[in-house]
Amino acid sequence: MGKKEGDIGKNRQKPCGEIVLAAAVLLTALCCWLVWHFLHREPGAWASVEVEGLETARYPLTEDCTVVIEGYDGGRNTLVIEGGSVRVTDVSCPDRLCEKQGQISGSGETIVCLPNRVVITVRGGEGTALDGLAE
Amino acid sequence: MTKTAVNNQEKHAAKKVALYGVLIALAFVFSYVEALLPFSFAVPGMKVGLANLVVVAALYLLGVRTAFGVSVIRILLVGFTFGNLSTMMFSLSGGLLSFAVMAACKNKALFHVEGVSMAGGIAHNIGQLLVAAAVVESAALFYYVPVLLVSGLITGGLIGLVAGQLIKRIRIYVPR
Repeated sequence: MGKKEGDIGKNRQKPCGEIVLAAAVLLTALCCWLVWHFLHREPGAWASVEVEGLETARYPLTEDCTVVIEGYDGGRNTLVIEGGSVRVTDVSCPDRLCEKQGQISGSGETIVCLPNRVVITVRGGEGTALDGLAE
Repeated sequence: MTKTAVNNQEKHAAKKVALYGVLIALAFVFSYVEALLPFSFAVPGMKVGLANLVVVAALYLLGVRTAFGVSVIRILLVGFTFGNLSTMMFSLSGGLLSFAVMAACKNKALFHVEGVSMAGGIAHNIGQLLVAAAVVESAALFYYVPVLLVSGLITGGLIGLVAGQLIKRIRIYVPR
């Protein structure tokens, strides 16, 4: 027993790579978040709906509406646009992750439903030039 | 080879089979327990990864090959039992990348158990994200990178802490 504890004690003295790893990861995450935050601050103009990578519809954020999106394998998501923001309210899948992703309104923000392979992205607004280039 | 040597070898093999079975069963149950947890996170691919506890412990106590076997067989069994082909694909991509990173980190002796598990947690999330982005054919998913990095770090760290204690306590009972 004593010997085993000794093993672990010896291990403990090695340099702490954990702290370096944690710091590096936190820094990377912070950078990603900051870059994303500054690129996508403007409110968007329309919601783009993609199913399996193909854009199937666009809805302007200025008009309130409720639509049902037909996703992969018969899955359904209900998209609600209200007061300039988009959310998903009713989903056919059990985990309902896309409902929990909440409301989005800024250009570049997304709601993803993996089982139905649906991606809803807010686009347009001030940063349209950038988005236009990318498309 | 003498008769006793053959006997010993058979005993050893039987012991190994039993041990593999127990480990896989444990990992399987952890997956099930995790699926029962009432909370889930808003981001696809984010979870605690309880089953990884068994994989990390096996990696340290029984070596790379055993841990790899436990990891892959667990994923396949859980996929066939509770999931479908696409959930299995996500698990497998996360699991394999995570395992490769953990095995590499352990070999290089850069980290303690906690660090290895952290690296594994992060790799798991990144692997799943890559496959998810390929499935929905959209780069929009990379919006989740910061969240998944941090969550992988935290859950991996927690699993690593528990695994460290576990390894310390059960080491003496595990046949090498």
